[in-house]
Amino acid sequence: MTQALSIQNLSKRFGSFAALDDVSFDVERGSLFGLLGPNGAGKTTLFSIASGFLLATSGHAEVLGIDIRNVSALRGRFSILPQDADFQSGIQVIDQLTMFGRLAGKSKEEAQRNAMFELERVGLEDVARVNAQSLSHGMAKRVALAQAFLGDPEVIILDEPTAGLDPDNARKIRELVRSMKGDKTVLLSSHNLQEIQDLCDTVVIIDKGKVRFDADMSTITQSDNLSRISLFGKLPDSVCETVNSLGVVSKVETDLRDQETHLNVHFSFGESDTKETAMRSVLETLLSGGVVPRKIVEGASLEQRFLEVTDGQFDGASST
Amino acid sequence: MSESGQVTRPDGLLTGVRPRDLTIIASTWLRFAFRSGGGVLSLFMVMVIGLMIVNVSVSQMERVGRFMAGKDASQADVVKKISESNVVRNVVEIVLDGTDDEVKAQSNYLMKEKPAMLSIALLILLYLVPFGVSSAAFNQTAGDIGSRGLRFLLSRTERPNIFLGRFLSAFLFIAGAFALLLLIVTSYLHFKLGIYSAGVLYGWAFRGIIAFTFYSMPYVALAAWVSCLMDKPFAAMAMTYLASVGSTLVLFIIGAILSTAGAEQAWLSRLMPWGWRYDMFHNELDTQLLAYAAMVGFTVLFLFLGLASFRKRDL
Repeated sequence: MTQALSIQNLSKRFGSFAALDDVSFDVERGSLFGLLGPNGAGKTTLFSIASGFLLATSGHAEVLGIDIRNVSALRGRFSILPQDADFQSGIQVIDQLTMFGRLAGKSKEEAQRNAMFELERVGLEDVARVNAQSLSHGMAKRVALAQAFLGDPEVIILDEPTAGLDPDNARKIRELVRSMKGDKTVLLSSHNLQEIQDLCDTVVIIDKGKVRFDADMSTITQSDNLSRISLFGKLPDSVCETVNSLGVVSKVETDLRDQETHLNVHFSFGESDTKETAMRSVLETLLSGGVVPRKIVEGASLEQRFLEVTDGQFDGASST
Repeated sequence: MSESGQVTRPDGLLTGVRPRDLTIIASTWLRFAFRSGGGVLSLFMVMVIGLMIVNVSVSQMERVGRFMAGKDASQADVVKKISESNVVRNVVEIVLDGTDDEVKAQSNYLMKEKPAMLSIALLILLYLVPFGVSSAAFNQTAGDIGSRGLRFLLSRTERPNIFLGRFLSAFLFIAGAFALLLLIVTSYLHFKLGIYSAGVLYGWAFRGIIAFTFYSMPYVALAAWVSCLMDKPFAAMAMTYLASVGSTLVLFIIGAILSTAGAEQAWLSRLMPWGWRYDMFHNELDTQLLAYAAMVGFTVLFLFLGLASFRKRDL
């Protein structure tokens, strides 16, 4: 079965600046795929090439097994919510969506019906006859989401769909994406870790134009052999060594950030050990060394992976 | 991929062109031109400026004609005096700018065989075309490249459909505007002078509409080309004026320099549609057809250059 999206050795240069450098990955059909990266990592450039807006300097992008430069062959099967794209002013929302539907091969009546259906799905049927320019930013994003799902495409790219939205509107968009997805393949880019972790089942982390990480979300977040313990202040070396010497611990990693130590404890269970007894040993060691844990998280988080692969240069997380 | 390694778009310039998509894009944009206000404003400007020019010219010529024909002369005598006036004919011949015999034959055709007052109006209004087209057609794609609005279309249709669809809508709008202007001018002359038969006058106006349609076509194509190179409407407007009006001025200056040096310079004006405009009103059919062919040729050239740029540029 062909992939929903296949990116092979893709590079894009703007003058001497390499926005993308030999990027390769595949996205399986039916998945909700997250493209994560800090600002300027190359997410929009990558999706812009995958959508045919930009030409790659080298490499290859295929949607549903079809070269993206051959848009006609993908008519109606693929769509995108572009980042920061404005609708035409002076044309009513319903007329714009109807035109998009007709360009995707539908008759005028069918395109009109589809447009109204999608507007109802995003809760904006009341703005159908409104000039698109007079919509608020949040409403415009929802209309853009409606246009992306117009005509039942198989593959949908959502380029930073919640960027610039307040928390309430961002939440609405996330709920809509979840409810509208169905069996479609949805590719979503964001610099919001929580958003990607909540929505997506696979993720690629990109930074400085290179793929740094590519995995299923479950393999990242579900790990019985790992606990993350946050501590107030710096962890004394002696306590760290004692934890490391415990029989149930195979490795300890520490990371001091913002007056807080993040301790990644990798366990190595024997036959008689359980996660509970192992954790008890670790916590007793910490407390006897005068160290008070602030938070314990089971398994790894996307944030941890992200910080690992982007050298801790994450500045774009938001709570929206 | 090209030999240099750069990824290119496959096949020819017109690959993916679909008449249905062209129609959808052109009709939507034509409606947009009227609704947005920008198109209506351009239309209004063309009308007002065109009518002002014609009104001033006709009034002044009428004044001269009445002076020559006498206070109590009929309107028909006044117009007859104008069309037979050596001063007016000399001005027309200077404007037509060609070899003596050819110019005399053409001025005779325009001033005697055809309704003279309408001929004069047509010659004057031809000057308006590059300005009018530049004002109305500069923003075919530039604004939407800047606002990324084109991205909603790019996953649904091939680039040539967008480029040619926008060109078609701009061309139809402008051709319609000039047709309306000429009809108003012709009706004005018809009711004001009341000496030409409606059939003759409107027949000549119809020829004028065809000529203006063909003459505006390459300038719309030039604007389409310039517009797709820009991503800001103001820059597109400035560059469109520079390309259509500025280039003509440059050719005029070079021509003047060559002329002073005694070199042949008549061919220079033919490098732009401007140099062919009067030939569409020539007394000889061959010359007329050549002028129309030149307009089509310029249009094809500018569209070719525009399409080549639009297909490969980042949007």
